[in-house]
Amino acid sequence: MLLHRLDARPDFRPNLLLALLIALALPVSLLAGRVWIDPATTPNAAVILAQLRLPRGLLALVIGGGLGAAGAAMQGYLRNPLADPGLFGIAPGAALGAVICLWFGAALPFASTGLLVPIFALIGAGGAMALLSLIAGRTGGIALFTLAGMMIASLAGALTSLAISLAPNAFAMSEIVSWLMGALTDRSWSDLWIALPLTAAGIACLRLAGTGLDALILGEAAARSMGMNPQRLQALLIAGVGLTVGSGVAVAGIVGFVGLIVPHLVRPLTDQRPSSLIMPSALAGALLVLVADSVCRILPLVTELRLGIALSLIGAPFFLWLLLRMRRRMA
Amino acid sequence: MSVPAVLEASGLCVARGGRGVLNDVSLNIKTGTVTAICGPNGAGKSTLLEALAGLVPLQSGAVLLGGRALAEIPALQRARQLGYLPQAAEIAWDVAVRNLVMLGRMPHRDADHRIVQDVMKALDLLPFAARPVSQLSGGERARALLARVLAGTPEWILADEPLAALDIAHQDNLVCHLRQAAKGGAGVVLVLHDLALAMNHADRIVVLDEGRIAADGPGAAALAPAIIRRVWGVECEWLGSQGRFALSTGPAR
Repeated sequence: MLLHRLDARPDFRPNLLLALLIALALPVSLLAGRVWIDPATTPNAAVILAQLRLPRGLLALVIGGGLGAAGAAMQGYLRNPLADPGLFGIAPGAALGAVICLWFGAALPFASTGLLVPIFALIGAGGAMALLSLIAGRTGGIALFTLAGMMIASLAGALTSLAISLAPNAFAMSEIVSWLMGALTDRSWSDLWIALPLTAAGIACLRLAGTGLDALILGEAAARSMGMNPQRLQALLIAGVGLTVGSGVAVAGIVGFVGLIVPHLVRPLTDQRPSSLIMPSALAGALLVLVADSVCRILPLVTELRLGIALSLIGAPFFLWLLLRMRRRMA
Repeated sequence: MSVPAVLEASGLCVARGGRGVLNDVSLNIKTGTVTAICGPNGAGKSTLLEALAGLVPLQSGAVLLGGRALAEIPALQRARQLGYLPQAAEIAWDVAVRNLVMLGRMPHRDADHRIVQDVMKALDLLPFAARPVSQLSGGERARALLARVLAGTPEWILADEPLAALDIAHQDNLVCHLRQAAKGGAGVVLVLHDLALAMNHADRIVVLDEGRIAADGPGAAALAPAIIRRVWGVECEWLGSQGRFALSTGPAR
């Protein structure tokens, strides 16, 4: 008799495939630009690669990885393929923190170090996480949690708009708007050292949430009957999404759509359980942001295309296609 | 012979949206039996099952499992003892049937392939093991969902309308499995709309009406035509014989 495979262990092949693609894409990305670097002939190639391109490439991987993992976890938690890390209000919270820093600009102490914006953004993300825990953390209910996140997102968005409209001068306004568009231009190793440990810790939290997310496949009541602890799951998600998204926004501004698109691209490669999707989504997110950032550098425009804009240009039509496909299925 | 374990509800009151759904419900259910909870729509059947599974906040009263309050039993230990199948369970992602059934092992924190394989074989699911749940018929899906509960080998099986989407052959097959589970020492509590199924297969029937117990006992007593008339407002008579009853409803003759 044919023995059916009843293996519910994760399949590592998607991870290996994506890791291989990253290993191929990273060296190409380091050389890519409007003027391609030839390590043998380009003057100062070693300095450009070591001080500009490598931290930028690695940062793209870190940010994309965090956003991809957060998107997969959010979709698993809300049991909704249209969910996105922005729904928890952590990205808008981090953006508000950064905008406040840019608003005050040089008036702040240590402004010249370049570390203030990420620090303020992390404080903003932390504030959003704390508020989210305070409002929804005790009940463990998903609906209240989501509404709390949307309220925080809306409030932080409104305050950000207020800060832009009341900007002290045109320079501050332009700096804020430009920062909000998201970019990896001129990022350094110090940005990487901020984002890397926080994102790694965030992804670790999201992976710990995997079992609870799997239980939610059958709905909230069945999941609780299987021993899923809703408060623990929420705490892991707040920490995981907060650390990944918060640190991403802190060093690169708002980079949208990665968390929405990537789980969809990767889901067919997995067994569809949310826990199986987190690592492949992290790797695919890393690859997507790396490639998108390289494309931003290559395009022959007057100024470099902002990463956030490039990803939105890819993401919005994808989102539309997703909606149309869902409509067709429902019909 | 081992002493049966007891799942006890004592003075349960549950409210939803400010409306009392269960009012002072007390029950004492033993393992080794099949108990059916019946009642008209909105009587509180599903809420009672959720309360027995420890999934709804109680206004007053308590549910005791082996003499210990459910609330005091750690979640995982409780999950290993009580297998709960909700009504109209939605499956969020298009997982394969084998992975869906394997979720039943979650409370045990293992992936016991032998148990999962046995349950799938018993419920005639092996031919669909690798099939995504979106490609199952209603009946196959209902069996897969019940298989998930059985894969946890719980001492108590609490299932809300597990037979609703099944054809008569699979209904029969499933009832046999549930009866077998009861014979093997499990306590089986089912919410059933189909009174004939309850009459023919349950050892005990609890009839709920507006959140209160209207009748409790063996089928012949709890589902007597007079009680059905009082609770459901329907004139009826039972046709057939023990284990093969059919309910004939209609205007009084």
